[in-house]
Amino acid sequence: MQLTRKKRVAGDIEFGIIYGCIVLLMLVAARTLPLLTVLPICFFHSVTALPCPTCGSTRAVRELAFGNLGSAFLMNPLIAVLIVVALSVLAANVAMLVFRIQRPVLLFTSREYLVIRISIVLFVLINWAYLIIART
Amino acid sequence: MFCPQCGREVSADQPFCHGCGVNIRDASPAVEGRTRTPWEDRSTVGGLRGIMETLKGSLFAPGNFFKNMPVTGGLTDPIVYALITGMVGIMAFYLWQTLLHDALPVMMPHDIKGPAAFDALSGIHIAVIAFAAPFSIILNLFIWSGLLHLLLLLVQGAKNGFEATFRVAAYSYGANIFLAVPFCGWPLAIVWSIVLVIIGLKESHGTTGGKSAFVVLFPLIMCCAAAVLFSVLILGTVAASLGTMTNQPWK
Repeated sequence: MQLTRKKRVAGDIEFGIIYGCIVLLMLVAARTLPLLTVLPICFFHSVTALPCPTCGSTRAVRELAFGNLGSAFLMNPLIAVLIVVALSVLAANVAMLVFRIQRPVLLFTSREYLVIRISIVLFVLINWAYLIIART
Repeated sequence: MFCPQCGREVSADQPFCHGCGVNIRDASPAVEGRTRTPWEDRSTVGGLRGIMETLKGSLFAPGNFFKNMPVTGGLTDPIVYALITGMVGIMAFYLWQTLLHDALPVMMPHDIKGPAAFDALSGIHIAVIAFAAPFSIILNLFIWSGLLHLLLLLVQGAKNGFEATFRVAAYSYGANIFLAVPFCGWPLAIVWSIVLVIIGLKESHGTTGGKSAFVVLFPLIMCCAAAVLFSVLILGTVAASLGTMTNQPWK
C-alpha cells in the first residue's frame, strides 16, 4: 500500500462530498419525516422470514439521526459504521477543499485489492449473520 | 504511454497512475476510440435531435451505444439527460393516471383498490412530485451507480472508473420514457432499464455479461434496492405527510 497526494485539477468531481451530502440528507429526512410509517416491508424478509443484509438500515439511520450511536449499531452494525465513515469523509473532504489541500490517494497492489475484496464480503456476511442471530 | 482512464502521461514500468490511482495493467484499453453521444454533441446536432438520437441509440441499439459511449467527460450532461427523460416519463405517467382516474380502479384487483393511491396522484400531490422528482432522480442516480460500482469492484469487473458506471446508469434512465405508455409502460420501463444497465456495464467496462448481470440483479434480489429506493421513499413520505395516504382507510 502506498499513500500519495493528488493535485487538484479544475473539474475534479468531489465524490466524497456528494455521497457525504446524500448520507446527511438521509439523516435529515429520517429525523424530520415519518419514514418508518410508510416504508414497505422487506421483500426478502417476507419471502424467507430471514432479515436481508440491509434490514435495520432505516432504523439505524433514524437512531443515528437522533444521536443514538449505540442503538444504531445494534440495528445494523455495518450500515451504522458506513454512515459514520461517510460523514467523516464528508468533513475531511470539505476541509481539504476549503484549505486547498492535495487529495490523499491510496494505491494498492493486486494482492492488496484481493484482500480488500475478501474483507468486504466477509464484513457483509458477518453483519448478516449477526442480523439473523439477533432476530431469530 | 498514457493512463487509459484519465489520460495523464505514465511511464511504462509504473503500475498505477499517479493522477487517478487506477491500476494501469488492469485498466481497459478500450477507452480510446469512443465518441461523444449525440446528446453530449448537441451544440452540433441540436438539442432535440441530440436527445432523440441518444434515446434511439440507447434504447434500441444499446450494445453499440454503450460500446461507443465515452467513459469520462463529466457528469453534468448525463445527469441532465436523465432528468429530462425521467421527468417526461414520470409526468406523462401521472398524467395518464389522472386521466384514467375513474377507469383504473375497475380494472384493478380488489385488494389494491382504494383512495390512497389515487389521492396521491391528484392535485397538490402532482405538484409535490413535479417539484421533488428531479431531486429524487439525481439521488437515485448517485446511490444506484455507487452500489453498482462497488459490486463491480468486488467482482473485478470495473475496468474503468466510477464515471463510466455513472454514465451507464444515467443513459439507462432513458427507458423511463416508456412510462408515458399507458397500462404496460411501467413494467416495460423497469425491465428495459435493468437490461440497459446490464448491457451498458458490460460494454463500458469491457467486462463479462455474467458479471454485469450479477452486479445489477444481486442487489435487486437481496433487497439492497432499499437503498436505491430511499430517495423515492423520501418523495413518497413528503406526499404522505401532506395527508391522505396514511389517514384515510382503504376501501
